[in-house]
Amino acid sequence: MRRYVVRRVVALIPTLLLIYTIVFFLMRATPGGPWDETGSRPVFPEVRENLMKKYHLNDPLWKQYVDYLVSALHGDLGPSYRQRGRTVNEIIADFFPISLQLGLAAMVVAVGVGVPLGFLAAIRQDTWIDRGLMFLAVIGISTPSFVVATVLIVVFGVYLRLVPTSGWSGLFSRQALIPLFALALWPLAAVARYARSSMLEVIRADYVRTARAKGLTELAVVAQHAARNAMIPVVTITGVYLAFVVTGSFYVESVTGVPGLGRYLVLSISARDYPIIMGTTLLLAVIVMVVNLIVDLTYAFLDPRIRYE
Amino acid sequence: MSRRMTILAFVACAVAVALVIPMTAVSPAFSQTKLAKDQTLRMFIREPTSMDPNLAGDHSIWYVDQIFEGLYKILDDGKIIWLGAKSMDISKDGLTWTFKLNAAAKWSDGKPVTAQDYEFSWKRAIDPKLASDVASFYSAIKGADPYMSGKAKDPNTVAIKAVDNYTLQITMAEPAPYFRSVAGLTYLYPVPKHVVEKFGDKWSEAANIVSNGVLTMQSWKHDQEMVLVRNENYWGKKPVLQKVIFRIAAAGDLCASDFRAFEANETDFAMCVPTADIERVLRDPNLSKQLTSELLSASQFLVFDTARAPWSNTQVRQAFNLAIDREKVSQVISRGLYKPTRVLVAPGIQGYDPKHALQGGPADAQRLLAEAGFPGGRGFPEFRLTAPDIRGNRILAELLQQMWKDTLGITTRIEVMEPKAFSAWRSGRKNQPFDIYTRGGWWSDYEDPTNWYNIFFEDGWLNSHWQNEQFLQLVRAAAPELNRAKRIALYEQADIVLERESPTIGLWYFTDYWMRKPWLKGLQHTRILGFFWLRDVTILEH
Repeated sequence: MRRYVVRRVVALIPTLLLIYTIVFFLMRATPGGPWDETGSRPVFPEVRENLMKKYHLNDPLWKQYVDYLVSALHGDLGPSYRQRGRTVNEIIADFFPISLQLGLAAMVVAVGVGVPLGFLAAIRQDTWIDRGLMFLAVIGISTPSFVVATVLIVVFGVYLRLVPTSGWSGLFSRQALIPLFALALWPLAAVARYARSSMLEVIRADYVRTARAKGLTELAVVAQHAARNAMIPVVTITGVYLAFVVTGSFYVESVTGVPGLGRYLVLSISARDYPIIMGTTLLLAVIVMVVNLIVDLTYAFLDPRIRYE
Repeated sequence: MSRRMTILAFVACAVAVALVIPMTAVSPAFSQTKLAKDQTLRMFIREPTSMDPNLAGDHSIWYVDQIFEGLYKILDDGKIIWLGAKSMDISKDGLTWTFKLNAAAKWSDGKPVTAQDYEFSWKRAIDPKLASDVASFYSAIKGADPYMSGKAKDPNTVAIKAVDNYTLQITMAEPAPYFRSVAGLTYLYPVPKHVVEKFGDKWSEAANIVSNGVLTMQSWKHDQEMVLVRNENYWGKKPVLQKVIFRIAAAGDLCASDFRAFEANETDFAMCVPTADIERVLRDPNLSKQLTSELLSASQFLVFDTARAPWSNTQVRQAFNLAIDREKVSQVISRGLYKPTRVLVAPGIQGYDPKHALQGGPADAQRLLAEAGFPGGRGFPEFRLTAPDIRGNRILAELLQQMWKDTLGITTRIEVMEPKAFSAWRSGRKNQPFDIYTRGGWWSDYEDPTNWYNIFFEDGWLNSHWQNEQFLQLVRAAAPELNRAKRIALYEQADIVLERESPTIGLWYFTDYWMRKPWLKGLQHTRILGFFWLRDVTILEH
């Protein structure tokens, strides 16, 4: 097991290097640089030259490639071009914890509510409960998160004035409710559907029939015998959504005014803020890979047949 | 009850209702004169990219302007309000400018604002190591350009000098009357030398910042909230306002957040109404009263590549110009809140005169095109209209395509580009051909004709490749002209040539859509870059 983890962690290195290389060249191949114009005003050629010098953009490409890599390996992701006086490290330290908190909370809600609902639908297959829940799930999956967030803001913020229309003052505040729900809805619906279909498969398995034959109550059969195995596909899908949600959703963050990383990354791309783009992309890559590793390890706990050597 | 009594009672009721209804309708929910106990203004802003006046070149200047002040300020009436300076003296040759500073002016930590602070700030702004894009506003000063570009290493070669503690003297490379409109801009506000030297890059963070305006910064939680409070060390009349809470919106979608918070009474002032909501606001009896459309010194226009056929033919450009229905364009783009214009430059800029506009309508457009050799649009070469994907430009391009098709019988190909890609493309047109482009408009940085005519066509920043000798001679002569009346006359002549030749087509003047709660009084707008002037704001009881 330990060897497996070490092997996976070591495998991160070439992957990250590949991502670094692709992003580095893709950014520079994109038309338009960081300082073509500011607002609607032309940037003076002298000023542009000074900026290029200050941020070493006049250096040969290979030198820029190596220099940034070296400083990134030392933990310095460089200065932001757009936010003068702030570094990428500071910006990530400001934004990432917010996206992380909100994302984790959203996944807790999604799994905590989605799994029981999915299981319930499976046990009551083809009843009105099943049909009702799955109808709601389809709506949840097919409604984009920014629509959900906008509707919630207009109804609860503007008309009912129960929650502020936007902003952030910590996870345990009224402000967090709308982004939390908007972010959780889609994974919740998806988790519920996966939980249902995998439970349907499992409750028809032989060992579940055995459990029933032993005279166990239905609840004990589902909770002790079926649930664990039924969770395997759910964990997979949860991992995918976790990586997605934790790295921040641009739409939800923009609409609800949450200062998170997802929104910041998109803004930086349109501003051609190279160090921010690079810093956040690398961070997101690490998160996705770590989440995948955790998902793989979870299988071993859920299914005794799975072993990592 | 008798029938008569019933009628009487009925009438009495009706009279009472008739009296009461207008009373309730008129009587506002807030006092018209009494000040609220809590003088706090709440509004939304976009995260400033810097609060350092030497660096702030974008929207950040709006917020810098609240906590710092410069030598003076020019509001829309064109008069100078003296702030950091008491007087300005320009030598006869127009080269030496001497500012006597206001000795009462203090930084928020109580230290005096001196000429040395100004000298330090101005030299810092053009320091190539700082690489600030506000440096361009200093280029009239002798020695500034070589220092900026690194050709001269010694800052003492730049002619900015503190003669004594309260006298600042600068020398121009050549007469630059436009500097009067520039010296009061945020880009030339002073920074506190003692604080900048102590904290370096981080001096403008809330914990370190020291400012000299009527307000000063209390806290700044990046991307969340900035709080300003009254500067108790301010030299002049202190504002009634005690506090300003800037909620920082998720950038990218400022407008929607701003407007929704306003509707939910979370803010007192919104600087924007989403296009989709304008219709509803205009129809709503309450909201429509809170909306004002404030004219900006900014216009939207089209640019031709006049160096190549068919655009080198003036008649073709005129035909394209006259075929546009500006009223309709403004209706579609802004529900009529933008002000249609047939000329390029904005009101307030010397040379501007709506009478210079090309006269005529669609019929004249057809005639001109026929005279140019394309009757009914026949034989007109294929061409492209290039636009950036910002501020309604895509819709504008489609509207123009339709109008030119209907009136001139010509087919336009539209090319819409991502904003940064467009900027790069446009910069590349200096020596490259194109057909027609539109961009996100032009905002006066200062109210002087050089900011339009000279930058656009003499410096060639529009890349329109328009080389009209008569026009260029006029604007070249006008820029350094010290006689004010003569200068205006030259620019007026130039404007006549410009509008007749139509190398550009003016479409509309931008306006700011501002929403103000009825209890917010004394908020002023400036047409230069849409500054909001908070110093006279009061909040009435509500």
